[in-house]
Amino acid sequence: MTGILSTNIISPVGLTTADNFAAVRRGEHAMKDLSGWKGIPVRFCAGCFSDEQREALRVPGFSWLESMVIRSVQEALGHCDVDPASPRTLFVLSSTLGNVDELSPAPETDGDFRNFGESARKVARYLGIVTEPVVVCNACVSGVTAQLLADRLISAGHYDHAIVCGADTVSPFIVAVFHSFQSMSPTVCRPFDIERLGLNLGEGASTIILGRAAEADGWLLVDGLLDNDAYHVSAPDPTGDGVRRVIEGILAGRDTSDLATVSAHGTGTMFNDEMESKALAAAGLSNLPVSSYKAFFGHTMGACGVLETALALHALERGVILPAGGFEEIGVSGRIDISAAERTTQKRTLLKIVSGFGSCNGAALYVPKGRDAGEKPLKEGPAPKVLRRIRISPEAVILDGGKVPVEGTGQAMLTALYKDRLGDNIRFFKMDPFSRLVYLACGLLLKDNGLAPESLGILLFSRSGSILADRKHLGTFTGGAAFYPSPAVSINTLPNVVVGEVATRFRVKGETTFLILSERDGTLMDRIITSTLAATGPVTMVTGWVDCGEPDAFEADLQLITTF
Amino acid sequence: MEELINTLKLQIIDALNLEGMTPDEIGNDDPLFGEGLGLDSIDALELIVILDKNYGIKLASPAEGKTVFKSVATIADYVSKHRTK
Repeated sequence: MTGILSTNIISPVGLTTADNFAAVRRGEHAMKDLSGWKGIPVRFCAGCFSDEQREALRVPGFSWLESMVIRSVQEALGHCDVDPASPRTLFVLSSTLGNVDELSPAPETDGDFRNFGESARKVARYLGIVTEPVVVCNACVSGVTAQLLADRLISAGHYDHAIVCGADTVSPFIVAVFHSFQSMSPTVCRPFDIERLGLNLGEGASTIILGRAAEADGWLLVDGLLDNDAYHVSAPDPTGDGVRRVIEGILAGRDTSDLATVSAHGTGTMFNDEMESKALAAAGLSNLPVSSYKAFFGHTMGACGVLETALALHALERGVILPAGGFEEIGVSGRIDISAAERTTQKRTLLKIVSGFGSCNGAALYVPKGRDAGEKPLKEGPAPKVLRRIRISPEAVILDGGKVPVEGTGQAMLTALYKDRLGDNIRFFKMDPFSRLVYLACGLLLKDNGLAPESLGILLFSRSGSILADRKHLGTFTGGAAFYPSPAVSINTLPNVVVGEVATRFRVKGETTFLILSERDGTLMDRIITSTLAATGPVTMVTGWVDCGEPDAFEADLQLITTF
Repeated sequence: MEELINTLKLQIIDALNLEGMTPDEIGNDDPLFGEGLGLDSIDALELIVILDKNYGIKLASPAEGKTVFKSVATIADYVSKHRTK
């Protein structure tokens, strides 16, 4: 359990949490018709800053994404007494795509592009933060994952404070990703509505600063859970089972009489909203007011889990449940309590839920101090046992200490290894080199494990993430190529998607997380792994380092560990 | 028609990265989804891109593609009737 010391939201309609709350209540939203934007031959709306706004917010020497992060963190730091320069202050960046709008199809034309780890470190140093930052890259679940990661590291005693900032930008890159999935609405999105046509992208940054519960006088983050529905990398389990499990896991054994509202993911796509409604109904929450903010800000991806939490808490502090923007007539089959009008409430407890590509889901519960819903003790079990280990380099594969006989080197070796040892998933061939590496390394550890899917998890660390897929995706619609972004390529621009692929194929239904560090840092990785184990209870987990910055320069060093 | 079928097979193999596969290994009437080639929803979107990019055919949704994408033969039949380039 940790306390929320300060929040900020930077969006096209406001530069503070209070400004954004006031703007939403006035009926303002960030959405603009961007059909034909930057020559993209697509009809779509997005929550975008104007060029003038961007210019005014830009921090010299930093990218647009980094500028938003800096502005957001600085503003949030102004409202609390947290020393960014303390060796016990952590910085967690939550972002799905980072600086991709600065990326080019080839390294030699990159210009000022900085990858995730370098970017987070540069921003951290500018802000005076001295510790190594962690980047959460868990698709749309990132914002909640980042808060839980920070909460666990503070609870485990490694840090006193954590600055959690979620941010993503709207760029041709991300428009091409979502266009290839045909999931963008040409008009302002209508979450949970019968006439919803898809989502709107959005950009912004949002910060939540966490500290020890004793320090906070407002809200406490009392619990959170992540899981994987192991259904499909780009479509949620239609039954909503993954979301139902995280909700029920959090609420089990708690007095829910103070539960005021659920801030839903509510993207406005057919699949997401239908699935969420079923999950809420199945969890017995049909009478809990549902809100969705996607029609105000768009889907801000890595930011949304932070932004929507900050806004919902600010509203609840004032007894307000904001309306479900864009909603008019119910268009989902799970019975939920949703309203196009603002409501008031005496209750104060907030449930936040999110779902994302890579088949992952998350939920978190926030309670005002004094209405404590009861802390679950850390489930500290025995030290983890290492069950299996795999190391893959371009020259060799070492499994459980023995060299695996396999033909060739580099990518050819990976393909040969796949054919010899796994060989039953045609999707392997559609993966980029990084995804192939991760799929193989995880697959060889998880194959035929015979364990309950709910007791299995994945926690991976990397430096380069999806950079190879990112460059390939760019090449499908830039440099004179007509605008035909490929869904098979663009899906892998989210590095956690291959984790979802592993989860789906090898039945992993526990927590799955993908993190990026600026370099392999054993101490930091150990802290994250042990604090995760303490928070999740008995689990068997694939964890370790995976990196592939060039097709034939890669490294996987993974272990299968257990606390059972 | 045989030529179109062969071209389509090559385009499918290329776009879906069906490494090591030759056109002969895909039967004209083999189901592409489920049993058979084992394609999934992401591949369906990829097939929509193939039709748009190479033949100027705009399918509105994967649902509309369901009947068209049964096999390479059904795609070839649809393409020959609706192509604009």
